[in-house]
Amino acid sequence: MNTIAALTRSRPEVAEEAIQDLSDLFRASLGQSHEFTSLDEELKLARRYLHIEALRLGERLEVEWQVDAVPPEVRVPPLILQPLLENAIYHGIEPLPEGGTIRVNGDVEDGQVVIEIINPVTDGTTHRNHVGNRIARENIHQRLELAFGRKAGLETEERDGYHRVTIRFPEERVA
Amino acid sequence: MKVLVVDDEAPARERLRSLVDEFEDCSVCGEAANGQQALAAAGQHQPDVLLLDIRMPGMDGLEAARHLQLLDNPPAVIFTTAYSDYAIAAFETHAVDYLLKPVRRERLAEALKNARRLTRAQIASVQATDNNGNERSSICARVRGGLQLVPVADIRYFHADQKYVTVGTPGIRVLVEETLKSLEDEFGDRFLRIHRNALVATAFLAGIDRDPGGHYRVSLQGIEERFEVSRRHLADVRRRIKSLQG
Repeated sequence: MNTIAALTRSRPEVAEEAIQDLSDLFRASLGQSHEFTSLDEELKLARRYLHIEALRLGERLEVEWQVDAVPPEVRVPPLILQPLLENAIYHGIEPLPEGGTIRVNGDVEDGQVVIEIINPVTDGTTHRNHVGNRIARENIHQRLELAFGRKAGLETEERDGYHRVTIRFPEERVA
Repeated sequence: MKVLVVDDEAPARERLRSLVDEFEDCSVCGEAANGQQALAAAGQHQPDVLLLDIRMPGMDGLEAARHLQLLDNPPAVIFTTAYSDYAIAAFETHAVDYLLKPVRRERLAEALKNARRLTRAQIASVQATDNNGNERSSICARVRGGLQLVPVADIRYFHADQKYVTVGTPGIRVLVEETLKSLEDEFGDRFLRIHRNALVATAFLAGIDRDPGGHYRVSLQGIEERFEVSRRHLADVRRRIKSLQG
């Protein structure tokens, strides 16, 4: 919001874009009644969210996407990726004065969609155990299990200065 | 009134700058994106007031505020934050001014009008409500009217001599007006007491030997000096060295 307030003065047309992105995010989070959305929609929403963060963080935030291997019409519960990306920014990118790169990789392995989000971590941060971070993770894990049963999962790993969260779920098309 | 704007986010600095510039008696004399830059800019521009973001990468606003108090004529500090979890009630009771982002023009005007210097007690109370930054990342020394920062990670020893404590790294020797006791309390997990007059960095402990007079002394990586170990701390020091080698 502070970023948008700043942009309203200096670059009104960019502020307008940011408000549109934010509206989409609000709509998605307020109207989470749909059980499933397509991965394509979910990725669009993730990009909108990252667009807002990029305005705030400037050159400190870089994102690399490698998600072409996953069919866009695969179904997922809505707002699965955004909270994980928010964690990656809050705990990974923001504490670094020079910023860093978030990687989003998607693949299909044996009928399972696998999506990884990787971010750098600083020595001092206790990324894994941070309360807000854990709550977001558990929430997503639960929603994946609710939607797909035991065929879905979420794992995290931290080593060599990187934090990685991996989600898996069956490759099913939107009806 | 000269204002220094400190925030890690460029749009936030930009907005504060344009708000401040609207006030007739105020002008922005500089900007900084983190605590280290803020201290350097404060030395260079001699601001009357800092608008200081709390959560920043590297050195945060609370630590920068602590270091600024060492200046002979410290600027007033107004904290800005987007997070209400910095115990706003505590700020209020101690009359430290803080502004929630996005900062409102009326609140900024009021804060600038009342801009006041922080006292040590206020900083301590703010520090107590901040759950991340209890330990400083750097020690700050007054050097010829300015401030010199010494990263704690580089420090090999603190050595007390009467009123002052010498802080030593491979390239720097500076005096600070702090007590060994308070340094030990703050950095107790990184520094080991070896004598009534010295703390040494456990990570850099190199070895222990006896001088011709029969006194035990430790050596530290990266520096020549050796430091006497008192009888009282000898067993503890030996144990630490052994565990590092093992």
